[in-house]
Amino acid sequence: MTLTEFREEVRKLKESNKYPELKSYLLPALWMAEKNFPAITHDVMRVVSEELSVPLVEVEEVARFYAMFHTEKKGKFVIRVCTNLSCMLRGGEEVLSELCRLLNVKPGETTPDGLFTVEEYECMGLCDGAPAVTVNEDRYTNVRLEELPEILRKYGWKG
Amino acid sequence: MAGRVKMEKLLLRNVDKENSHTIDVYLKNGGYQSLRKALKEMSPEDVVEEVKLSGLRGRGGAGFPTGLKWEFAAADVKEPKFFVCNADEGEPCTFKDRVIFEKDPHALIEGMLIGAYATGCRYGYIYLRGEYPIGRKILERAIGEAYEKGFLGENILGTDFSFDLYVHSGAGAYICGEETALIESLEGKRGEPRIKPPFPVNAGYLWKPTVVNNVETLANIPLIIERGGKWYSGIGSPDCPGPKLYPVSGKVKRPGVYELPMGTPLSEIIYEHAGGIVQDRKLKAVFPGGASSSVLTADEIDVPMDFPSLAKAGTMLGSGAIMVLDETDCIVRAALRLIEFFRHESCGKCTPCREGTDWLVRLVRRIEEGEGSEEDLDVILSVSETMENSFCGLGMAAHNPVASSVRKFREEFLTHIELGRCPYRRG
Amino acid sequence: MESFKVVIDGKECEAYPGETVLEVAERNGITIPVFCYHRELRPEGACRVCLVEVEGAPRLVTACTLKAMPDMVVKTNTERVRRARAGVIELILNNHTLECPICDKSGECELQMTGFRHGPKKSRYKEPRREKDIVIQGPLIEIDNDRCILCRRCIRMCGENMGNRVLGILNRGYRAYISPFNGDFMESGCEHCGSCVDVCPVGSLLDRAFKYKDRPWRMDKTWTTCLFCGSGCKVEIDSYHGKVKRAVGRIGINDGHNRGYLCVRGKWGWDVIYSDKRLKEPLLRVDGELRRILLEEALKVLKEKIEGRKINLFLESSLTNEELEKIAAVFGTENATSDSLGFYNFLKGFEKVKGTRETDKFSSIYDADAVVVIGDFIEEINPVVSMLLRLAVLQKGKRLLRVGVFPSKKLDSVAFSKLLVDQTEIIDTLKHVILGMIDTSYSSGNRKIDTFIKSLRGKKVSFVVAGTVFFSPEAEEIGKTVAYLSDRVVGGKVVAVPPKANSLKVVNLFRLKHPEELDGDVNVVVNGELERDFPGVELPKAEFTVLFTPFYTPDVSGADLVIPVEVWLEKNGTVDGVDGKLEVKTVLEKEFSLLEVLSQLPVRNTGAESKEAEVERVNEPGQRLLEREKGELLLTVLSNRTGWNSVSYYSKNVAGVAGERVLLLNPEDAPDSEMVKLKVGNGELLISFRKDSSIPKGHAVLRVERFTRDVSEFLRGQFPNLSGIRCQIAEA
Repeated sequence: MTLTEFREEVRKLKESNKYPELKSYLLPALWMAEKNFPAITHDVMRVVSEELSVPLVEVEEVARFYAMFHTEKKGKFVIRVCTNLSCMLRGGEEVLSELCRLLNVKPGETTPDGLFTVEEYECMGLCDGAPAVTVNEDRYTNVRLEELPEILRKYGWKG
Repeated sequence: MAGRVKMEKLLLRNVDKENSHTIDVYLKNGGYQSLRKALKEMSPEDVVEEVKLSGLRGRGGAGFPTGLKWEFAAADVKEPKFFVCNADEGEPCTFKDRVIFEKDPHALIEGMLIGAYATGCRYGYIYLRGEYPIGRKILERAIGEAYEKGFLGENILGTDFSFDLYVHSGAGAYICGEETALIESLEGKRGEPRIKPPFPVNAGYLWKPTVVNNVETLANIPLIIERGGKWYSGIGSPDCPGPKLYPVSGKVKRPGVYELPMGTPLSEIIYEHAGGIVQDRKLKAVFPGGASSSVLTADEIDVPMDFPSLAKAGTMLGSGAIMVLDETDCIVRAALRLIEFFRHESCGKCTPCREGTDWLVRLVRRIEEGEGSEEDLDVILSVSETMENSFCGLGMAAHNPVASSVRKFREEFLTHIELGRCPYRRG
Repeated sequence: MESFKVVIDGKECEAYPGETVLEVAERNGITIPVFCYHRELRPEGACRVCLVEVEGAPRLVTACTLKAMPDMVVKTNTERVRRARAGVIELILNNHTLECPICDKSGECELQMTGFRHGPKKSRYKEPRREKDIVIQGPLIEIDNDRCILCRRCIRMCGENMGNRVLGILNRGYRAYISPFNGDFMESGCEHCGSCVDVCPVGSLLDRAFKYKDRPWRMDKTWTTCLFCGSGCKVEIDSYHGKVKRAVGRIGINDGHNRGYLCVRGKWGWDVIYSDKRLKEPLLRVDGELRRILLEEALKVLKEKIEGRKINLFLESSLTNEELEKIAAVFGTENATSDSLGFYNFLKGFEKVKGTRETDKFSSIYDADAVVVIGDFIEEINPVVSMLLRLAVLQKGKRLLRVGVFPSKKLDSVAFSKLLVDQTEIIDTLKHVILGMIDTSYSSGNRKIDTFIKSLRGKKVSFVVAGTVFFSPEAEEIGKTVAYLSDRVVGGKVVAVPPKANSLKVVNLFRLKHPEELDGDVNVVVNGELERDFPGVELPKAEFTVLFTPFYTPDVSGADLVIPVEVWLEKNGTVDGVDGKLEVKTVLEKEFSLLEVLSQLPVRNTGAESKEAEVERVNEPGQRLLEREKGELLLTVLSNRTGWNSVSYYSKNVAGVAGERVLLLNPEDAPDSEMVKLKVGNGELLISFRKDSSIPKGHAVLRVERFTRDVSEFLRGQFPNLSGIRCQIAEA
């Protein structure tokens, strides 16, 4: 998406009349950026600030507050591995290290081909299926180490 | 005790049905009849009275009487008013609300509609945690269906009542489960709690009267309207009645969400409903009300799972999420993981929470890594005491899992210190 | 208001509804430690150090957020409270960088003081100190995040009080830190008022001009009045061994009417005294060239040249009362002009209706319910006055109403009602308001005006006239209109905010003329710069021209005798400010003194000069004078905040944040070219422009950092007008 297209999309968002004041569109606008750009850059924030009449720094504040927003470049697929208590008790940490081993990255890093970003993540509410992993919007529960390569291949992993 | 009675499924009555998330299935099973009843046969005051009669207390964690909250909101004359559903289910090991809006979203929508009617709210938002994209799709589809059938929008069911409903996605911040932080986030800001008073019922979203109710709370509403508050108040514990969803996870044989009368004993939930401990090991510890509750030992699990009983036992019901550790699990490691979570989720507004969580992480990690000393345990308890003075509930409770673990499993902490390593470490 | 009793530490205290326990305690001499609380800011309740015990409450409560209630019993000094407090301070200190020996704040640091008094006796922290290592350097402000305690005073000051929201908080939890957008103060639109630095309790927000320059405890601290504009701000000048190190407002402590708020000029413009453009010795034109001479020689020449001659006096209005009185004595009052001529015209009109030219003190607005602000660009000309007006709404609940032409970022967001009209309609709009105040059934036919009128009815109203009004061709007519209107409301106080520090004294002491009416033999220019203070005006042909100036101004090259004088930071005296008589004080030594030079000149026989001619009284509002023909725009030439009074030209500090020279046009009035040719009468100016939808159609704003020769020539014949100037634009 180009910045111009993004600006158009934000304008459309404003026309939805979902909120009684402009500032409330900030999270939806940043979500749109999160989904369409590799990162919510300062240029993206400038567009949001102009369109929503929100001071620049308030846009950056919000973009940097929420864990799901990436202000640094992320991969095409963000793999989130829950290691919070329920998943930890059922092997979440092992899943994380196996994934990192397979992709040869550390938690928080992106593979050199820009395909995957692996994140150690907090509880995603899939505790009945611990350990749980999500890849963008897809979710995987009761994940076993041996099924990880198969999951990765679905997203174009060549390993 | 009422809790012992085998109960019919109420909140989960629809979830096992095929396509339970569609309006057709919901309607076929009597859906939106409560709304019809409320709108056609009851005044808003009647609805509030019925909910007050039911004794329903909020299922988000604080347990505030829902009817009372509605009464306050209804009494406020400022316009417009907003009805917000708190679906920011971020408490670790809690996944009960997800089951409702993914499997029975119309029950939630109907509950919101009835609440909005009772309180005079014109607009509604479901603040959904960002980690639930599937839930978002299901809810948006359900809202679309409800609009199509005329349950949402202008002049609902031919009455003067109009209500518009939207889904607002959070983006990964546990603190937004705190109602004022949720409102800030809805307003497009960092999710940081506000000073109370004023309370949201009088000055919430855009400083207008705003009702914030949890998903599970709202799912109870159609039932109360359908069968009456009096009926409802007879279920479970007398001073906090109703059915309750208990999500159980960790080292049990059958993790999942169990609907049981409020006040069902913890031991019954673990051993009867969740099938007991994996590989029939010994139960070691239970966090009975989510990550911010104080831990209970194996000797303490006969406690009824309701607000007052758990409070008396020195812990809390919170979200009702039960997290079970077995004899092979390290309590220090568990406490560390939980306090790491709170450090990650602290918004940073107030000193005790921002600095206290970090210090606790560093202290507990040092112990877990075998670098601790006995004085560290006293420091942990003292820092916990300071954290009691935090700005909001997050900080006030964040130290609970650590402090309670130190109190109840002091020996295990000391073993770490003496051995200079974690006795449970594999490899 | 009905007061009630609260018991704090056993002492019965009187409290008023809406007051917090902290405020009641403070007023009754009971100290509760604070970090995030500041009396000028909305309470945040974040630092948790002001915890107190309240009878009946299970938890400790923050005194800064707790509203006092009748019969409340509060304890601020129990063992439980002391332990909780020490616990919080311990948490703050754990990771606080211990660089007090090199920290500029050391000695006046609130963390240091509160830490010593209320903190733990020893540290139990064994972990390695957490370092953020995020230092953000702006041109004048630096943020050292390792010293920051995240009290957020700066953010509230910037975002709420100043209405500017440059600073924000990035990341969350223990990783949170303070920053402007992208670490860039300039892009974030920082006005550099310095208030964030002022309220920072620790050494995190730093004044870069002061960094590593001196220690707070050893400097001479002198309260004086900033004379860079007519806001009359009280400011503390800190110096060591006669050298100025910094200016400090001390927000919340300062007892001036500005309460410690300053603007970029007051906070950072002090270094004008060290400008490399300072004039160091007298100059005399000999054989067509300026030569350095001794002061005694200069005085001798001066005496000779003015003896028996009629003086054309050009006065800049930042002089002290004492200087002005001396000037009046030695040069006379009848043949003078000044940069306050427009302000003089306003007061003349005011006097014609009121019978007096006395206006009210600024503080009188606090007695009113509603404050009507008339004028534009107050935030550029008198920045602190605009801040105080904003705070009158936010802190004191005043109803603020605006009448003007251009939007105001500072005021519009807090204004109850605003009438932004075409500049030609200002007077007619005010006349509608007059009619509405006289006749309760009056309808103007304009809903906005009617709403405006309605919101004034039954309210005690004060008027604040400021900004560009005094530079409008209608200044006198607006003066009449405001005077007439003020007699028709309840209260009716009128505050005229002088554009320059002592405009009031100048207009009261001298019978000001238009420069073209001056008919003397010798030109004497005091403190002024022709291009800046009298744009478009040429010095009358005269036998001799004398310049009293602190700086090498462009006028020096045309003068016959130049005598250096001091800048206000080197003066003692008084000025007649917006809030009464204000004191100007210094401990600095100076080489040249205007007052001393003047004392050596003979006093003229002023007895013949009548104090003031009787003005003809009128009993009606003013008349609209502004017209605009098709194709014409009404031009306002505006000095940027930083450039007002040439501060950015002489101050290196302020030069670093100077504004730009640009023409602002409504998009619909803007041509397609990149540059435009601006025409006023015979004057022309080629300039780049920017489309700005906040500029109303039919108006243009020329922002300048400095009135350079080309701008001055372009404005030939316009003096004293800088606003409402009919102009044309053409593509270029």
